Amino acid sequence: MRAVVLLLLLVSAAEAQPVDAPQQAPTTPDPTPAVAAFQEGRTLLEAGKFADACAKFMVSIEADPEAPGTLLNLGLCNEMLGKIATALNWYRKAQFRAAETQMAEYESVAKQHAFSLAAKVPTLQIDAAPGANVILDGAPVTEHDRARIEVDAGTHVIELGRERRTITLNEGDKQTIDLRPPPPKQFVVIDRGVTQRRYAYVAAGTGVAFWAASATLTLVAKSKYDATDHPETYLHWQNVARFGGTSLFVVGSAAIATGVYLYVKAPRKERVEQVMPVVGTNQVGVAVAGSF
Amino acid sequence: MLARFSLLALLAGCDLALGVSGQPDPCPLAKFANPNQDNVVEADLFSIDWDQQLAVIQRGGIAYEVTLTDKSETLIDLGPYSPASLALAPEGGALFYAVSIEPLTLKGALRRGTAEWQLDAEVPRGTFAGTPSADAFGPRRVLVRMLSYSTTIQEYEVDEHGHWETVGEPFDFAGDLAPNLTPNGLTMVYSAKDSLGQPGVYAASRDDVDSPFGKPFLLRAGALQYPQLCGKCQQLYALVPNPDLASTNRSVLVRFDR
Repeated sequence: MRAVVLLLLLVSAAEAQPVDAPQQAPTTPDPTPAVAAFQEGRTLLEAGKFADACAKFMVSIEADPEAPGTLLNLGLCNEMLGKIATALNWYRKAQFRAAETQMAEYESVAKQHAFSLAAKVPTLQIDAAPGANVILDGAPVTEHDRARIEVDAGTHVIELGRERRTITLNEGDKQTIDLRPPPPKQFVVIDRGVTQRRYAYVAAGTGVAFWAASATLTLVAKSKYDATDHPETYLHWQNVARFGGTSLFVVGSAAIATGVYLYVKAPRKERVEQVMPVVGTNQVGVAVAGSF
Repeated sequence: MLARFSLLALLAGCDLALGVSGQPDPCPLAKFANPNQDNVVEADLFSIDWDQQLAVIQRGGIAYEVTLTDKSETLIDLGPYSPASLALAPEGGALFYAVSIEPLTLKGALRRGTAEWQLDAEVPRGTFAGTPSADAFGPRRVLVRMLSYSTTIQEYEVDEHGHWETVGEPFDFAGDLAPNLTPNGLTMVYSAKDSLGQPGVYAASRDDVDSPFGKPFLLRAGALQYPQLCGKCQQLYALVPNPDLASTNRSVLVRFDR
């Protein structure tokens, strides 16, 4: 029923072309190219050949960009093709142009269709960093437009730098695409080996102390050994060096070896991403990420 | 057994690393270039034990025991004749001395207590004896000048019965009296003059008591008499001319420390 009304309106719109086309001439020997294309488009539209009709209306609108009837018919043919966003765009232009030329009837019809389509046009929101060059179906999208982009139902390609996403929208869909770079990670350094390394330092330090004691004792023994002619005395100091000095050296070496082992085997310092709370529609928790 | 041996082998490290072998070694021969020196006592002859606690000296023809820690002197009786040389065993329990009789005669005495000496102990044949080696290193050895006017030195070793037997061949010696042996018998020290007539203290070493002594090494130049090495050759005792002109004695015993 609505289509019938619309067709009637469009017929009248076609008859109203004198506003934009030279129909008022007393003799109409040949229609202009715009009118001819418009009329062909109308014929095709009525025949249900919407795509061909759209093509003819495009030829007409290129010749006469301000013709409200042509704008209106472009909206119609695209609507019939299911290109809601495209149709909505043409209806808005038609509405605007009709308002300018005070063609109330045209304006009303365009407005009515625009209102109807606006409710079901698929929309897209693209979140991207300021200044990012977002491409939608091969055409750049301004920062201003990213908040709400009306698109035809179907498959679309969004590109940002190397990132390329393909999405499919149906009538009435509203989808948000997040192309923002991930926030910089916050890392903290966790040293799980600090205690073990501390033990390593203590062990190694103890070993060094034993070495120093060994060296001191042995040098004293050597000094005493060298200062006496008495065999029993220098044999005593020889034993001090042999058993005392060597024992201390062995113990010190073992302690140093233990220290080195503990140090080498101690867990390394770890860079861990700061724990962030995660709250979602169906989850609450924390997220931790780390790296070595 | 193996574990015990391994442990002992493991523990026998630091002594070997620093050359503390426990074996008797000849003294490393090095000059007393800038030694600390200390006047001990005025003397004309002297000999010191290896602990450097006891000395026997002769001053003005009279023999004394001297305790070196406090330099206290005790008169000792070595017979009616004045000693012409003194050579104390390292342990301080025996003394060789030459008496100024004709012919010059080597005598021996054994110490029985403080200032108590038993005379006429058995001695090797000869005139002047140097300090002998210590018993701890095996049969005691001593170098003896055979005749007072000759340069021949003979080494003796005491046997298990206390008799002195010659060992090795006699050798010529250009120094004063007889060379003193260090306690291990591997180094001898003596005073002598070089080819230019300059006096000095010389030492010569050998690797073991059955080997000949090596070339003499000048420890210290100067008019030092009757030198003796102690404390693994870290100390040198010798008589030097007495700088105190007021003194009646000609020389003073000086200790040199490296």
